[in-house]
Amino acid sequence: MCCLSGRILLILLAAAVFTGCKTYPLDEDGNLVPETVDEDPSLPSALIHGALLHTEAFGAVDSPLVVALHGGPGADYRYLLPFKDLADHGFRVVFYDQRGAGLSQRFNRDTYIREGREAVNHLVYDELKAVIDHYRVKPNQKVFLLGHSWGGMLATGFTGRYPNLVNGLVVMEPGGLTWADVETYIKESRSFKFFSETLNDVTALDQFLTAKDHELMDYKMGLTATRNDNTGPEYVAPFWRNGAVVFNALIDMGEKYKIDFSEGIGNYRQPVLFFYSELNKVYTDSWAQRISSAFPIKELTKVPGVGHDGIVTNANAWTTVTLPKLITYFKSR
Amino acid sequence: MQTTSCIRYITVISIFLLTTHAMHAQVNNWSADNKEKQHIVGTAFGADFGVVSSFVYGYKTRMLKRPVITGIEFSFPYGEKKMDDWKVKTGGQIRVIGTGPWALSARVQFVTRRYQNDLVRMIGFGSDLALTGGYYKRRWFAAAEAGFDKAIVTQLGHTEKMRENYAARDGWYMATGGNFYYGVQAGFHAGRRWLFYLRGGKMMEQDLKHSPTLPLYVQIGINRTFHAGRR
Repeated sequence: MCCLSGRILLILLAAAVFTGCKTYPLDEDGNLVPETVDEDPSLPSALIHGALLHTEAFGAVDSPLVVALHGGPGADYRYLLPFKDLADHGFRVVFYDQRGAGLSQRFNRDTYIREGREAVNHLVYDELKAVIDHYRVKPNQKVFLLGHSWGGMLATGFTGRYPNLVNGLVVMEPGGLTWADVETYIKESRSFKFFSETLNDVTALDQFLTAKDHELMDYKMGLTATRNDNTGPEYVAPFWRNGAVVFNALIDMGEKYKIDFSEGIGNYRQPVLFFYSELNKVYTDSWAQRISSAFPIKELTKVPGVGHDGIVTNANAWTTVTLPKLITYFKSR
Repeated sequence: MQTTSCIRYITVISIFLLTTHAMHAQVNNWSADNKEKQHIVGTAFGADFGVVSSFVYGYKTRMLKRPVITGIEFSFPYGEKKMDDWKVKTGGQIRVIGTGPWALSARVQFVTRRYQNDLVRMIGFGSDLALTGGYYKRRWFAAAEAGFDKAIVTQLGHTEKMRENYAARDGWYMATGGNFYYGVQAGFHAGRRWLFYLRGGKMMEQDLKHSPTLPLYVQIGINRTFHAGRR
């Protein structure tokens, strides 16, 4: 009897909880993640290669283009905004969130999967080509690519495909260029200690939030990207919104088709500026040598006192090391 | 937003659940010592959305002519920050049907859990419903289980660090998640009072397409029973 009355009380109290509390829908725009460009017309955007992309550019329109490629897959260009400083040095700096990432338009997983082996060619390289075409205002306008992490891998793959279009290539800690190296890097950079808070922060979240729609999945992905002691001491780089679907889809496609970002780069005869950081425990000197060996001509720069994101986000490293190197390199091209 | 009333209601529920003669033991041998009322205490270690330890208290009695265990389980994951994440389950488990050594039991639990990282603090309420069927001998047992762990309502409170990125709305959100799980459990008695057990299985998110980051659960545990009077 006690149990029965207890259950009745429980039901009543539970009903009180769920009727007395105002709750918010998970999928209501703006509750958990910012709206994308197709939902918020006030954001800078352009329809490029069949997708409405979050994009903007700084500097004189006919200056040499420096196209910034963010990491991920699925991150956004917010943490790369220090690149804007290049506009003060005579360059047209182009930012865009790759499709399905950041504040750009979202697509279902099938959009990526149905492209099969050509997913990266059709959806990433062709998109980058279209971005360049969108911002290029004269045929002889120089084009430089500046990619961080996953963006460095894409920039390398694109340059291997269009070597004559790219006047200069800068990569910052691309995890790997062959898929085997990418897998090794991911494995090493996410090898959390068994009893660590970092592991728990990632795994325990799955009890509260599970996959439903873009908003929830993007929100959840953002919550897990808080800190990674393996790749550096920096706190999470500033971001607007992660793209969980594109992240999972491109990683799955990479594993399935063993994407090779180094394809064709052996024919690129321009110097490549290659940055890596001192405090990324996974990106050792030997790893930097290994990854950069794909470039016939290169200059390696090890940025002291920072980790993976700090190459750009650490103000001191940016102003004293990274930016001066970039200006010197671009002006020499 | 009526957060104050929410907190009041939930506090009342939590106090009620924690003070009701409580608990469950997720693992029980339905053929052992069903003639007496028992207190059950136990501890377990394993993987369950993280590397976790848990402590349980249960009270085994009879209801509707069937053996029943009610109780409470407290579990917490390892990590540098103590007590920022935890889970409390309260509820009961009843043997629904049985013939000879075969038995099917149902488990219903109310789940309260907390999570915190650098960007968000979550407090969630949910349910865990499961069926367990197996072969139970006096000294050992083996069974299969399947269940659904539902996050019914979750309060999100974001940190200043999160607001630097985006001012996500604090508040209560309904039906934020759920995970199915299925697996096996087995145990043996050492003496009359000690039960050693092992359980493990696989988890899938409620859309049956995605898996949790840690898609398996494993638990090794020990229970000790204490006499609590004859029926």
